Amino acid sequence: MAMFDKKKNPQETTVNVASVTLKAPETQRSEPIPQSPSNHGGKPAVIGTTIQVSGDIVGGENLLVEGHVEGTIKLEKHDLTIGVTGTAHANLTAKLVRIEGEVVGDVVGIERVVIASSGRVRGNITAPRVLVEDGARFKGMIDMDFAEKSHEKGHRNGATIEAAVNRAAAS
Amino acid sequence: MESLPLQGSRETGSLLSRWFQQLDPRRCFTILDLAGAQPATMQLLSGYRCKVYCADLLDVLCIPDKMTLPDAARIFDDRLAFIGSGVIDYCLLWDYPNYLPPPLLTVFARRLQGYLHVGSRMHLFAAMHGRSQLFPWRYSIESDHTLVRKAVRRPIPDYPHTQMEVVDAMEYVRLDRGTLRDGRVEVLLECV
Repeated sequence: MAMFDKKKNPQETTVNVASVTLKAPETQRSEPIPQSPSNHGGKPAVIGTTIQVSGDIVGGENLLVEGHVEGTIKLEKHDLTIGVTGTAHANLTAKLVRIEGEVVGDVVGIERVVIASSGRVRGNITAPRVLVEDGARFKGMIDMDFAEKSHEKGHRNGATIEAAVNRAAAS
Repeated sequence: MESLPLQGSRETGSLLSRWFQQLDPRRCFTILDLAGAQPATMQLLSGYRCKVYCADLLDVLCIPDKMTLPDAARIFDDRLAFIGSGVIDYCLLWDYPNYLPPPLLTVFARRLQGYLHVGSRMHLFAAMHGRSQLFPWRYSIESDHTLVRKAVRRPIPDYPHTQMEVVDAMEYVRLDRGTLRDGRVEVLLECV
């Protein structure tokens, strides 16, 4: 159940949610269904600059946050970008997490986490690969302990990532 | 692995390569980097199983002269408290000790000890002698034997410490060392 809360400033919208699920609508067409752009570098879903979300976000497509999110974001099979104007005081889980704005919270990247040069992160990061661009600011711990890196190439030992996902979900 | 354009001058760190030669790729290790999260270092460490604690303490250098040592200790604790007790296997101090006056170096060494364990190793640059001119650099590791250094833009007062002065402040270490240019001595320390 979502509750929308208009602030006095008509340009700004606050959304308090227990849980939001992002999912592309199903179609009944007979013609071939085009591939979801979210999986192939198309436009992601966007939380705009004036939107504030408080709650849990779960998704089946890529997401770009340019507004403010408090709570959790979980897109395990998709990409999450915290844009330059985006702020997330939240625990984040996604296949690829790119941070160009500000994050306070724990970040789990199933494949990779990138902190862009404009990115500011305070929290713990768990991912097999972490890329930090010049100028990025980070305080916290980066956990890159993945057994498959060294001696189980091609066969993922997901114990660490699974534990991190569970921790992020529980907190 | 992606590669980023890396700026800054490079130098070979002869002692640092010993660390990497000794690393067991099957074993996870924990590292504390006082230079913060630097692109080259993170790119290199992405190839290892590791946990990296990033704590940029350069702004702690602005501790006012009249601050008491207990206050300074509290500041160090605040900056390092996110690290678990006794978990650090490797600590990259770089030239940070040379920006702490002797009393603060002792305070810092004692606060740091709580995060180390017997066998923990530290890497740092000490001064050749007390009159050595030091330049403030921010270091990162490009490969197992190559360091990248970039100038810190703002001036930072320095207090060059020889390796023996550092060892005296850190009563819990033993010393291994090699010489570098520019009046610096590359030092490896092991906690005993």
